[in-house]
Amino acid sequence: MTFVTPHINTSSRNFIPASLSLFVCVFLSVLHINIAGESISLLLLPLLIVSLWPREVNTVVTIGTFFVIGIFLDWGTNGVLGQWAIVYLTVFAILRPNRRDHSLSFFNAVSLWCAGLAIATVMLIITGWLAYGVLPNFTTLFRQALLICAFMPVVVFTRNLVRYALMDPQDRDYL
Amino acid sequence: MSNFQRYDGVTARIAFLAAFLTSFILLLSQRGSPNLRGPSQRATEDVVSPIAQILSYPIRGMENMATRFKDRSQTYEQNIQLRDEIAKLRDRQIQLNLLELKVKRYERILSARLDVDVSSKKIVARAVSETNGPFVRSLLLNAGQKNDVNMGNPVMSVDGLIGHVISVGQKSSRALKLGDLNSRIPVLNRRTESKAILSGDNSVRPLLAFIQNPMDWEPGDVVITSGDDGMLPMGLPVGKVIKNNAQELRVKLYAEKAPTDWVWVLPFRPILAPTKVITDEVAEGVKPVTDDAP
Repeated sequence: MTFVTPHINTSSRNFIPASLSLFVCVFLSVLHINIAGESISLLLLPLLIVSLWPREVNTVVTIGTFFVIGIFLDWGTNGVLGQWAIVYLTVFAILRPNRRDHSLSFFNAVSLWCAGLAIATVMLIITGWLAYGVLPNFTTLFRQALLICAFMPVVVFTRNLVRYALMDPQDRDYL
Repeated sequence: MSNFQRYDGVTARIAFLAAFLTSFILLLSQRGSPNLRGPSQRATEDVVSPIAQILSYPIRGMENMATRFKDRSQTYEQNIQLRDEIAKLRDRQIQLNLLELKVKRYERILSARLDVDVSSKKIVARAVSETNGPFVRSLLLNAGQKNDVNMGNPVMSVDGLIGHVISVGQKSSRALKLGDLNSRIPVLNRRTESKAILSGDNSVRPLLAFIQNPMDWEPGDVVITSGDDGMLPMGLPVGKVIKNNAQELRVKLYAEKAPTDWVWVLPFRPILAPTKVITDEVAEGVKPVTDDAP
Protein backbone atom coordinates (compact mmCIF):
# COMPACT_ATOMS: atom_id res chain seq x y z
CA MET A 1 0.00 0.00 0.00
CA THR A 2 1.40 3.36 -1.00
CA PHE A 3 0.59 6.63 0.66
CA VAL A 4 0.66 9.52 -1.75
CA THR A 5 0.97 13.01 -0.34
CA PRO A 6 0.13 15.93 -2.61
CA HIS A 7 3.20 18.01 -3.46
CA ILE A 8 2.79 21.57 -2.29
CA ASN A 9 5.04 24.01 -4.02
CA THR A 10 5.79 26.17 -1.00
CA SER A 11 8.75 27.73 -2.76
CA SER A 12 6.80 29.69 -5.38
CA ARG A 13 3.84 30.22 -3.01
CA ASN A 14 6.13 32.04 -0.59
CA PHE A 15 8.37 33.64 -3.19
CA ILE A 16 5.78 35.49 -5.27
CA PRO A 17 4.24 37.63 -2.47
CA ALA A 18 7.67 38.20 -0.91
CA SER A 19 9.24 39.38 -4.16
CA LEU A 20 6.21 41.53 -4.97
CA SER A 21 6.34 43.20 -1.56
CA LEU A 22 10.10 43.71 -2.00
CA PHE A 23 9.47 45.36 -5.36
CA VAL A 24 6.78 47.66 -3.92
CA CYS A 25 9.04 48.53 -0.97
CA VAL A 26 11.85 49.46 -3.35
CA PHE A 27 9.52 51.93 -5.07
CA LEU A 28 8.32 53.26 -1.71
CA SER A 29 11.93 53.66 -0.58
CA VAL A 30 12.73 56.05 -3.44
CA LEU A 31 9.72 58.25 -2.64
CA HIS A 32 9.87 61.04 -0.11
CA ILE A 33 7.12 61.70 2.36
CA ASN A 34 6.59 65.00 4.10
CA ILE A 35 5.07 64.77 7.54
CA ALA A 36 4.66 67.93 9.65
CA GLY A 37 7.25 69.75 7.56
CA GLU A 38 9.80 66.93 7.90
CA SER A 39 10.90 64.98 4.85
CA ILE A 40 11.21 61.30 5.66
CA SER A 41 12.75 58.52 3.61
CA LEU A 42 11.99 54.80 3.71
CA LEU A 43 15.31 53.74 2.21
CA LEU A 44 15.71 50.86 4.65
CA LEU A 45 12.26 49.40 4.03
CA PRO A 46 13.51 46.77 1.50
CA LEU A 47 16.08 45.68 4.09
CA LEU A 48 13.22 44.79 6.43
CA ILE A 49 11.70 42.56 3.74
CA VAL A 50 15.10 40.93 3.14
CA SER A 51 15.52 40.27 6.89
CA LEU A 52 12.04 38.73 7.10
CA TRP A 53 12.36 36.71 3.88
CA PRO A 54 9.98 33.72 3.96
CA ARG A 55 10.98 30.12 4.57
CA GLU A 56 11.51 27.42 1.97
CA VAL A 57 12.18 29.74 -0.92
CA ASN A 58 14.60 28.68 -3.63
CA THR A 59 17.97 30.15 -2.61
CA VAL A 60 19.28 30.68 -6.14
CA VAL A 61 16.16 32.60 -7.19
CA THR A 62 16.35 34.65 -3.98
CA ILE A 63 19.99 35.56 -4.62
CA GLY A 64 19.13 36.60 -8.17
CA THR A 65 16.21 38.71 -6.92
CA PHE A 66 18.31 40.49 -4.31
CA PHE A 67 21.01 41.20 -6.87
CA VAL A 68 18.57 42.68 -9.39
CA ILE A 69 16.61 44.65 -6.76
CA GLY A 70 19.86 45.97 -5.24
CA ILE A 71 21.12 47.21 -8.61
CA PHE A 72 17.69 48.70 -9.37
CA LEU A 73 17.68 50.56 -6.05
CA ASP A 74 21.16 51.92 -6.76
CA TRP A 75 19.96 53.21 -10.10
CA GLY A 76 16.78 54.60 -8.61
CA THR A 77 18.61 56.47 -5.85
CA ASN A 78 21.67 57.52 -7.85
CA GLY A 79 23.92 55.45 -5.61
CA VAL A 80 27.06 53.55 -6.58
CA LEU A 81 26.08 50.40 -8.46
CA GLY A 82 26.37 47.23 -6.43
CA GLN A 83 26.23 48.77 -2.94
CA TRP A 84 22.71 47.73 -1.99
CA ALA A 85 23.11 44.36 -3.74
CA ILE A 86 26.14 43.62 -1.55
CA VAL A 87 24.24 44.70 1.56
CA TYR A 88 21.19 42.52 0.79
CA LEU A 89 23.26 39.51 -0.21
CA THR A 90 25.40 39.72 2.94
CA VAL A 91 22.37 40.09 5.20
CA PHE A 92 20.75 37.12 3.50
CA ALA A 93 23.93 34.99 3.65
CA ILE A 94 24.44 35.62 7.37
CA LEU A 95 20.85 35.53 8.62
CA ARG A 96 19.63 32.78 6.27
CA PRO A 97 15.98 33.75 6.92
CA ASN A 98 14.78 31.12 4.41
CA ARG A 99 16.24 28.32 6.58
CA ARG A 100 14.22 29.07 9.72
CA ASP A 101 12.55 26.09 11.34
CA HIS A 102 9.52 27.87 12.73
CA SER A 103 7.12 30.49 11.50
CA LEU A 104 7.92 34.07 12.39
CA SER A 105 6.69 35.51 15.69
CA PHE A 106 6.82 39.24 16.34
CA PHE A 107 9.76 38.81 18.73
CA ASN A 108 11.68 36.81 16.10
CA ALA A 109 10.91 39.45 13.51
CA VAL A 110 12.33 42.19 15.78
CA SER A 111 15.48 40.11 16.43
CA LEU A 112 15.96 39.43 12.71
CA TRP A 113 15.44 43.10 11.86
CA CYS A 114 17.95 44.25 14.50
CA ALA A 115 20.51 41.69 13.30
CA GLY A 116 19.87 42.65 9.66
CA LEU A 117 20.26 46.34 10.47
CA ALA A 118 23.55 45.71 12.31
CA ILE A 119 24.97 43.70 9.38
CA ALA A 120 23.71 46.29 6.89
CA THR A 121 25.33 49.13 8.86
CA VAL A 122 28.70 47.33 8.85
CA MET A 123 28.39 46.64 5.13
CA LEU A 124 27.36 50.24 4.39
CA ILE A 125 30.42 51.48 6.29
CA ILE A 126 32.74 49.13 4.33
CA THR A 127 31.18 49.68 0.89
CA GLY A 128 30.77 53.43 1.49
CA TRP A 129 34.40 53.75 2.46
CA LEU A 130 35.43 51.76 -0.63
CA ALA A 131 33.20 53.67 -3.05
CA TYR A 132 33.10 57.19 -1.65
CA GLY A 133 36.01 57.24 0.78
CA VAL A 134 33.81 58.47 3.62
CA LEU A 135 31.69 57.05 6.41
CA PRO A 136 27.91 57.14 6.06
CA ASN A 137 25.87 59.91 7.65
CA PHE A 138 25.00 58.07 10.87
CA THR A 139 22.31 60.57 11.89
CA THR A 140 20.42 59.90 8.65
CA LEU A 141 20.97 56.16 8.99
CA PHE A 142 19.78 56.15 12.61
CA ARG A 143 16.69 58.22 11.78
CA GLN A 144 15.77 55.94 8.91
CA ALA A 145 16.27 52.83 11.06
CA LEU A 146 14.01 54.29 13.76
CA LEU A 147 11.40 55.09 11.17
CA ILE A 148 11.38 51.51 9.89
CA CYS A 149 11.05 50.30 13.50
CA ALA A 150 7.86 52.37 13.68
CA PHE A 151 6.61 50.75 10.47
CA MET A 152 7.57 47.26 11.60
CA PRO A 153 4.35 46.17 13.38
CA VAL A 154 2.37 47.11 10.26
CA VAL A 155 4.75 45.19 7.99
CA VAL A 156 4.77 42.09 10.21
CA PHE A 157 0.98 42.16 10.56
CA THR A 158 0.50 42.51 6.79
CA ARG A 159 3.03 39.76 6.19
CA ASN A 160 1.23 37.36 8.53
CA LEU A 161 -2.12 38.30 7.02
CA VAL A 162 -0.89 37.56 3.49
CA ARG A 163 0.69 34.33 4.68
CA TYR A 164 -2.59 33.24 6.30
CA ALA A 165 -4.56 34.13 3.19
CA LEU A 166 -2.23 32.15 0.93
CA MET A 167 -1.99 29.18 3.28
CA ASP A 168 -3.74 25.90 2.57
CA PRO A 169 -6.99 25.80 4.59
CA GLN A 170 -5.91 22.43 6.05
CA ASP A 171 -2.64 23.88 7.34
CA ARG A 172 -4.45 26.71 9.14
CA ASP A 173 -5.67 24.22 11.73
CA TYR A 174 -2.08 23.60 12.86
CA LEU A 175 -1.42 27.26 13.58
CA MET B 1 14.46 16.25 -0.55
CA SER B 2 12.54 19.45 -1.15
CA ASN B 3 13.30 21.83 -3.94
CA PHE B 4 14.84 24.51 -1.78
CA GLN B 5 17.17 22.09 -0.02
CA ARG B 6 18.44 20.69 -3.29
CA TYR B 7 19.32 24.16 -4.60
CA ASP B 8 20.81 25.26 -1.29
CA GLY B 9 24.06 23.41 -1.90
CA VAL B 10 26.78 24.06 -4.44
CA THR B 11 24.54 25.90 -6.94
CA ALA B 12 23.45 28.41 -4.32
CA ARG B 13 27.03 29.02 -3.25
CA ILE B 14 28.13 29.58 -6.84
CA ALA B 15 25.15 31.90 -7.44
CA PHE B 16 25.95 33.84 -4.26
CA LEU B 17 29.63 34.20 -5.13
CA ALA B 18 28.81 35.28 -8.70
CA ALA B 19 26.26 37.89 -7.55
CA PHE B 20 28.51 39.16 -4.74
CA LEU B 21 31.62 39.39 -6.93
CA THR B 22 29.72 41.13 -9.75
CA SER B 23 28.36 43.68 -7.26
CA PHE B 24 31.81 44.14 -5.77
CA ILE B 25 33.43 44.68 -9.19
CA LEU B 26 30.69 47.17 -10.14
CA LEU B 27 31.26 49.01 -6.86
CA LEU B 28 35.03 49.20 -7.27
CA SER B 29 34.84 50.17 -10.93
CA GLN B 30 32.94 53.33 -10.01
CA ARG B 31 35.22 54.32 -7.17
CA GLY B 32 35.70 58.09 -7.31
CA SER B 33 33.89 58.50 -10.63
CA PRO B 34 30.41 57.07 -10.87
CA ASN B 35 30.37 56.83 -14.66
CA LEU B 36 28.71 53.49 -15.24
CA ARG B 37 25.35 55.22 -15.21
CA GLY B 38 24.84 55.85 -18.83
CA PRO B 39 21.77 54.98 -20.87
CA SER B 40 20.72 52.15 -18.53
CA GLN B 41 20.35 54.44 -15.55
CA ARG B 42 18.51 57.06 -17.56
CA ALA B 43 16.18 54.33 -18.86
CA THR B 44 15.61 53.11 -15.28
CA GLU B 45 14.85 56.64 -14.13
CA ASP B 46 12.39 57.08 -17.00
CA VAL B 47 10.63 53.93 -15.71
CA VAL B 48 10.85 54.84 -12.02
CA SER B 49 9.67 58.43 -12.49
CA PRO B 50 6.04 57.78 -13.65
CA ILE B 51 5.57 54.86 -11.22
CA ALA B 52 6.89 56.93 -8.34
CA GLN B 53 4.56 59.73 -9.39
CA ILE B 54 1.54 57.40 -9.29
CA LEU B 55 2.61 55.93 -5.94
CA SER B 56 3.10 59.40 -4.52
CA TYR B 57 -0.48 60.56 -5.29
CA PRO B 58 -2.04 59.16 -2.08
CA ILE B 59 0.95 60.36 -0.04
CA ARG B 60 0.73 63.86 -1.53
CA GLY B 61 -3.05 63.80 -0.95
CA MET B 62 -2.57 63.14 2.76
CA GLU B 63 0.17 65.78 2.98
CA ASN B 64 -2.03 68.35 1.23
CA MET B 65 -4.92 67.58 3.55
CA ALA B 66 -2.74 68.22 6.60
CA THR B 67 -1.28 71.38 5.03
CA ARG B 68 -4.72 72.74 4.09
CA PHE B 69 -6.01 72.17 7.61
CA LYS B 70 -2.98 73.96 9.06
CA ASP B 71 -3.28 76.79 6.51
CA ARG B 72 -6.96 77.36 7.25
CA SER B 73 -6.30 77.71 10.96
CA GLN B 74 -3.72 80.41 10.20
CA THR B 75 -5.60 82.24 7.45
CA TYR B 76 -6.47 85.34 9.46
CA GLU B 77 -2.91 85.94 10.75
CA GLN B 78 -1.44 85.22 7.32
CA ASN B 79 -3.84 87.67 5.69
CA ILE B 80 -2.68 90.49 7.97
CA GLN B 81 0.98 89.59 7.36
CA LEU B 82 0.49 89.47 3.60
CA ARG B 83 -1.22 92.89 3.53
CA ASP B 84 1.78 94.37 5.39
CA GLU B 85 4.17 92.68 2.98
CA ILE B 86 2.29 93.97 -0.07
CA ALA B 87 2.48 97.52 1.27
CA LYS B 88 6.24 97.19 1.80
CA LEU B 89 6.77 95.53 -1.58
CA ARG B 90 4.91 98.35 -3.39
CA ASP B 91 7.45 100.83 -2.00
CA ARG B 92 10.31 98.55 -3.03
CA GLN B 93 8.84 98.14 -6.50
CA ILE B 94 8.91 101.90 -6.99
CA GLN B 95 12.55 101.99 -5.81
CA LEU B 96 13.40 99.08 -8.13
CA ASN B 97 11.85 100.81 -11.14
CA LEU B 98 13.95 103.91 -10.41
CA LEU B 99 17.08 101.80 -10.01
CA GLU B 100 16.37 100.03 -13.27
CA LEU B 101 16.20 103.37 -15.05
CA LYS B 102 19.47 104.46 -13.43
CA VAL B 103 21.27 101.24 -14.39
CA LYS B 104 20.07 101.50 -17.99
CA ARG B 105 21.36 105.08 -18.14
CA TYR B 106 24.77 104.02 -16.74
CA GLU B 107 24.92 101.16 -19.22
CA ARG B 108 24.34 103.62 -22.07
CA ILE B 109 27.02 106.01 -20.74
CA LEU B 110 29.59 103.21 -20.24
CA SER B 111 28.52 101.24 -23.32
CA ALA B 112 28.48 98.22 -21.05
CA ARG B 113 26.10 95.29 -21.12
CA LEU B 114 25.25 94.27 -17.58
CA ASP B 115 22.50 91.75 -18.20
CA VAL B 116 21.69 89.40 -15.39
CA ASP B 117 22.15 85.90 -16.78
CA VAL B 118 19.31 84.36 -14.77
CA SER B 119 16.76 83.14 -17.28
CA SER B 120 13.21 84.44 -17.00
CA LYS B 121 11.93 81.14 -18.42
CA LYS B 122 11.32 78.45 -15.85
CA ILE B 123 10.56 74.77 -16.37
CA VAL B 124 8.21 73.52 -13.69
CA ALA B 125 8.87 69.96 -12.55
CA ARG B 126 7.83 67.73 -9.70
CA ALA B 127 10.38 66.01 -7.48
CA VAL B 128 8.84 62.53 -7.62
CA SER B 129 11.61 60.98 -5.61
CA GLU B 130 14.02 62.47 -3.11
CA THR B 131 16.95 60.46 -1.84
CA ASN B 132 18.42 61.59 1.46
CA GLY B 133 20.36 58.43 2.14
CA PRO B 134 23.49 57.84 4.21
CA PHE B 135 25.64 58.63 1.13
CA VAL B 136 23.52 60.20 -1.60
CA ARG B 137 21.32 63.30 -1.72
CA SER B 138 19.50 63.70 -4.99
CA LEU B 139 16.13 64.36 -6.61
CA LEU B 140 14.37 62.61 -9.45
CA LEU B 141 12.37 65.10 -11.52
CA ASN B 142 9.51 64.29 -13.88
CA ALA B 143 10.85 66.58 -16.62
CA GLY B 144 13.54 65.68 -19.11
CA GLN B 145 14.85 66.41 -22.59
CA LYS B 146 11.31 66.72 -23.93
CA ASN B 147 10.78 69.65 -21.55
CA ASP B 148 14.11 71.32 -22.54
CA VAL B 149 15.93 70.29 -19.36
CA ASN B 150 19.69 70.09 -19.95
CA MET B 151 22.74 68.89 -18.05
CA GLY B 152 23.97 71.37 -15.45
CA ASN B 153 20.72 73.36 -15.27
CA PRO B 154 20.10 74.83 -11.80
CA VAL B 155 17.15 73.44 -9.84
CA MET B 156 15.34 75.92 -7.60
CA SER B 157 12.51 75.95 -5.11
CA VAL B 158 10.55 79.08 -4.23
CA ASP B 159 13.07 79.66 -1.45
CA GLY B 160 16.38 79.15 -3.24
CA LEU B 161 18.82 76.87 -5.04
CA ILE B 162 18.41 73.13 -4.41
CA GLY B 163 21.04 71.70 -6.76
CA HIS B 164 21.79 71.10 -10.41
CA VAL B 165 20.86 68.54 -13.05
CA ILE B 166 23.41 65.74 -13.49
CA SER B 167 21.63 63.38 -15.86
CA VAL B 168 18.79 63.84 -18.30
CA GLY B 169 16.48 61.21 -19.74
CA GLN B 170 13.61 61.63 -22.18
CA LYS B 171 10.96 62.28 -19.54
CA SER B 172 12.95 62.50 -16.33
CA SER B 173 16.11 64.00 -14.95
CA ARG B 174 18.28 63.60 -11.88
CA ALA B 175 19.38 66.58 -9.80
CA LEU B 176 22.26 66.50 -7.35
CA LYS B 177 21.40 68.35 -4.13
CA LEU B 178 23.81 70.88 -2.67
CA GLY B 179 24.45 68.64 0.34
CA ASP B 180 25.60 65.64 -1.73
CA LEU B 181 29.20 64.48 -1.43
CA ASN B 182 29.89 65.23 -5.10
CA SER B 183 28.35 68.72 -5.14
CA ARG B 184 30.74 71.69 -5.56
CA ILE B 185 29.26 75.12 -6.35
CA PRO B 186 31.18 78.43 -6.58
CA VAL B 187 29.48 80.97 -4.34
CA LEU B 188 29.76 84.62 -3.42
CA ASN B 189 29.19 86.52 -0.20
CA ARG B 190 26.73 89.28 -1.15
CA ARG B 191 28.02 91.62 1.57
CA THR B 192 31.77 91.39 0.93
CA GLU B 193 31.80 89.85 -2.57
CA SER B 194 34.27 87.30 -1.25
CA LYS B 195 34.28 83.97 -3.06
CA ALA B 196 34.26 80.36 -1.88
CA ILE B 197 33.25 76.88 -2.93
CA LEU B 198 30.11 75.39 -1.41
CA SER B 199 31.13 71.82 -0.81
CA GLY B 200 28.58 69.12 -0.02
CA ASP B 201 29.59 66.66 2.69
CA ASN B 202 26.43 64.59 2.93
CA SER B 203 24.91 66.86 5.55
CA VAL B 204 21.93 69.21 5.42
CA ARG B 205 24.20 72.24 5.71
CA PRO B 206 27.09 72.17 3.22
CA LEU B 207 30.56 73.45 4.05
CA LEU B 208 32.22 76.62 2.74
CA ALA B 209 35.62 75.56 1.38
CA PHE B 210 38.49 77.38 -0.35
CA ILE B 211 37.52 80.66 1.30
CA GLN B 212 39.54 83.63 0.00
CA ASN B 213 39.57 85.55 3.25
CA PRO B 214 37.91 84.02 6.33
CA MET B 215 37.48 87.51 7.85
CA ASP B 216 35.02 88.33 5.06
CA TRP B 217 32.59 85.66 6.17
CA GLU B 218 30.35 86.15 9.16
CA PRO B 219 27.27 84.28 10.36
CA GLY B 220 24.17 85.76 8.78
CA ASP B 221 25.86 86.76 5.51
CA VAL B 222 23.78 86.03 2.43
CA VAL B 223 25.31 83.52 0.02
CA ILE B 224 24.52 83.56 -3.73
CA THR B 225 25.97 81.70 -6.71
CA SER B 226 29.00 83.43 -8.23
CA GLY B 227 28.67 81.89 -11.68
CA ASP B 228 32.46 81.49 -11.83
CA ASP B 229 32.33 77.96 -13.21
CA GLY B 230 30.19 79.08 -16.12
CA MET B 231 27.81 76.24 -15.38
CA LEU B 232 25.39 78.13 -13.12
CA PRO B 233 24.15 81.71 -13.52
CA MET B 234 25.26 84.38 -11.08
CA GLY B 235 22.97 85.59 -8.33
CA LEU B 236 20.86 82.57 -7.44
CA PRO B 237 19.99 82.69 -3.71
CA VAL B 238 21.64 79.83 -1.81
CA GLY B 239 21.40 80.51 1.93
CA LYS B 240 22.91 82.19 4.97
CA VAL B 241 26.29 81.61 6.61
CA ILE B 242 26.32 79.87 9.98
CA LYS B 243 29.12 78.70 12.24
CA ASN B 244 28.81 75.27 13.81
CA ASN B 245 30.27 74.01 17.10
CA ALA B 246 33.53 73.08 15.37
CA GLN B 247 33.81 76.72 14.19
CA GLU B 248 33.36 75.62 10.57
CA LEU B 249 31.62 77.99 8.21
CA ARG B 250 28.56 76.31 6.75
CA VAL B 251 25.51 77.46 4.83
CA LYS B 252 21.96 77.13 6.07
CA LEU B 253 20.20 76.60 2.77
CA TYR B 254 17.07 78.61 2.00
CA ALA B 255 15.68 75.49 0.29
CA GLU B 256 15.84 73.48 3.53
CA LYS B 257 12.94 75.53 4.96
CA ALA B 258 10.29 73.46 3.22
CA PRO B 259 10.15 69.88 1.92
CA THR B 260 10.89 69.63 -1.79
CA ASP B 261 7.93 68.98 -4.04
CA TRP B 262 7.48 71.35 -6.98
CA VAL B 263 10.69 72.80 -8.34
CA TRP B 264 11.86 75.04 -11.16
CA VAL B 265 14.59 74.15 -13.58
CA LEU B 266 16.25 77.23 -15.06
CA PRO B 267 17.26 76.59 -18.67
CA PHE B 268 20.70 78.19 -18.40
CA ARG B 269 23.14 77.75 -21.27
CA PRO B 270 26.61 77.15 -19.81
CA ILE B 271 29.45 79.36 -21.03
CA LEU B 272 31.60 77.22 -23.31
CA ALA B 273 35.37 77.09 -23.07
CA PRO B 274 37.10 79.19 -25.83
CA THR B 275 38.48 76.14 -27.65
CA LYS B 276 35.03 74.68 -27.89
CA VAL B 277 33.59 77.93 -29.31
CA ILE B 278 36.33 78.14 -31.97
CA THR B 279 35.80 74.49 -32.90
CA ASP B 280 32.08 75.13 -33.30
CA GLU B 281 32.71 78.18 -35.47
CA VAL B 282 35.11 76.18 -37.64
CA ALA B 283 32.45 73.55 -37.98
CA GLU B 284 30.02 76.24 -39.12
CA GLY B 285 32.47 77.51 -41.76
CA VAL B 286 33.94 80.51 -39.91
CA LYS B 287 37.66 80.95 -40.50
CA PRO B 288 39.60 80.53 -37.21
CA VAL B 289 41.74 83.44 -36.02
CA THR B 290 45.42 82.50 -36.00
CA ASP B 291 48.54 84.35 -34.79
CA ASP B 292 50.11 84.60 -38.27
CA ALA B 293 46.98 86.12 -39.79
CA PRO B 294 47.51 89.64 -41.25
